[in-house]
Amino acid sequence: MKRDILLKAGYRYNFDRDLYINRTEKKAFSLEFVDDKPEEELVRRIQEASNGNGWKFYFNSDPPEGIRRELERVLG
Amino acid sequence: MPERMIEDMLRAEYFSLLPEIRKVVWQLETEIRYETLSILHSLNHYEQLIVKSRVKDCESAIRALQRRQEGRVFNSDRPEEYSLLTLPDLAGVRVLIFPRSRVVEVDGRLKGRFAGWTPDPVRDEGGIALALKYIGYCSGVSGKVRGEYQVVPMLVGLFWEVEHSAMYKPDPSLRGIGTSTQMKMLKADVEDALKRFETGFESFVTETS
Repeated sequence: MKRDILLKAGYRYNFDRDLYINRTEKKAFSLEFVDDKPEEELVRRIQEASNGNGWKFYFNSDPPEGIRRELERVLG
Repeated sequence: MPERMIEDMLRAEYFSLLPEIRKVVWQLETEIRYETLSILHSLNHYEQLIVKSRVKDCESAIRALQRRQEGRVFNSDRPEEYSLLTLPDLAGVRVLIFPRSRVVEVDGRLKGRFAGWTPDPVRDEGGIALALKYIGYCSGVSGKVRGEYQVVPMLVGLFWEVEHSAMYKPDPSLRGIGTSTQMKMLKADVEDALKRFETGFESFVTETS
């Protein structure tokens, strides 16, 4: 299951934002993205390199700057 | 504009719309009661038809709009993109019916009155329709606020009243219960059991009448 793949890769579910997040990697997957994409793509994205200091968001619709900024603020 | 200010903007919008939301819900409830009155009077003593209405409360409306955004945040650069008028269920009426065989009759009667409303059935995880739902405008009352009515088998509808407030407006200590796979399976089991009860009840009535 996709959820198990994410949990195994160190992602935790954020109930306020409906995101799977990995604070070490600074990567976040939206619930919609996880629901809609096949497992193979999810595994590929999990293996992608992180952005260094900035968060990397995997959304169905690329989040605009205002949403990115707000999410980065709440995720820390 | 910070996200908090978008929420405040939506609160202001809600209270400016509230008189109109109330008018829509009153109109919808009255029309539905009128249209189903003859069915109500023809019910057998073991049959039931109940009409319930509700105005969505302000915080539920804001949370519902927020849940439509990926990441559940508003874009602080584009406050003009958000309006509670995009929600279809600010004004809602639910018709609860027992047994299930009466659902078709009530639905047919209301479809005649609300011709042109958009059907949007409530489906279970497997895509099977659990209840009928329609969205549209009450002509002459509001061209802005849409109304929603549901025609629901009573046992499922009463279960939802308890389940929705426990699962989707939970105590903070129960966060995540709404997305729990186990709870979703249990919910499906209950809905299935209620459906089987109603089907069995109807078969019994048919066989003995």
